[in-house]
Amino acid sequence: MSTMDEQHSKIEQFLKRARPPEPSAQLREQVIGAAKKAWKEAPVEIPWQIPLRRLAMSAAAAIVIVSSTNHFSSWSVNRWRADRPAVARAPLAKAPATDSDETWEEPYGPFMQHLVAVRRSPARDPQAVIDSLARLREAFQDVPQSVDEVDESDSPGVKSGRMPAGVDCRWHA
Amino acid sequence: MGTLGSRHDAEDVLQVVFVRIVGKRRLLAKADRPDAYVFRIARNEVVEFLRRRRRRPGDSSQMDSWLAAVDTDKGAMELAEELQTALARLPQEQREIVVLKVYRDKTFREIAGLLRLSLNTVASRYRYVMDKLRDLLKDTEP
Repeated sequence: MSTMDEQHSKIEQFLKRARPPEPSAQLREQVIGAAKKAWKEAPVEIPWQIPLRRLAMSAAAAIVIVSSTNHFSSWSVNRWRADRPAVARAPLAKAPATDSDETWEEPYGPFMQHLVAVRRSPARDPQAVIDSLARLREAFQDVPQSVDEVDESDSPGVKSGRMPAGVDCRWHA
Repeated sequence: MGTLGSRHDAEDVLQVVFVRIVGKRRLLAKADRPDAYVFRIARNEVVEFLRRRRRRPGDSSQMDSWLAAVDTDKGAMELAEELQTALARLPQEQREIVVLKVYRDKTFREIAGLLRLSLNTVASRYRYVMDKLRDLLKDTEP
C-alpha cells in the first residue's frame, strides 16, 4: 500500500513539473469588465419571485388543461348525441326516492346526466306505445258504460282491477 | 482549460461564467458552499460549450497548449507537452479530479464536495487515474 502511495506521489510530483498558466492581466480586465457590465444590465433574480412564478405557471397550465378537457368532452358528447336515434323519453318524475340510487348525488357531467336519464326512463318503441294505446282505446269503446256493471260478481264495494278480455297490455320493447 | 483543451475557448467560457455568476449573485450569496456553486456553474458552461463545439462544422477540437513548464530548462517544454498528451487521453471526469488535486491543491473531501461525489469514489477514481498515468508516462518518467 505504501509503495503504491509512493508511486502516486511520485507521479504527482512529476505532473507538477508543469502547471496551467495563470490568467493574464488582459483576461482579468476583460472578464471583470464583462461582469461589471452584466451587474448593471442584468436583472437580479430575486429568490422569492421564483416560487411565485412557478405557482403562476402551474395555475395557468391547470386552467388550460381543465378548460381544454371540458371543451373536448362537450364536443365529443355533442357529436355522440347527434348520431343517436331519436327516442321518446318520459320526463323525469319527481317522485319520492325509493331507490337508493336516486338519493345519491347528482351526476356531474353532461354525458353522465344523459346516461342516468336514459337509465331512469324506460326507452320504448314509440310506435309500440301508440299502438298499445290505440288498442286500449278500442277495447274500452266496446266495453259497457261502466266497469262496475260488467263486473258485478265482485264483492260489493270493491272495484275490479281486471282488464277486459282481448286487451294486450304488455309493453312492446 | 484542461477539459476544453483550448486556452482561447477557456477564456470565452470564463467570461460567460462570470456573467452568469453576476446574474445569480443573490443565490450565490445565500449558497452554503459558494465555491461549489461557482464550480457547478463553470462545469455546466463547459459542458454546454463542448456540446455546441461538437455541433459546429469545422470544429477545432485539437488540444492547444494549456500546460506550461515550471522549469526553464531545455526539456521542460517537451515534458509539459507529454504530460498534456497523457492527461488528454483521460476521460473528462478523471481528468478533472487530477487537475483539482494536483494543480488546484484540493483535498479529496473538497473535490467530493465540488463534484458531488462520495469521498470513496473520488479517492478510488484518483488511484485508478494515477495507475493509468503511470502506464502512460512510463517512457517519460525519469
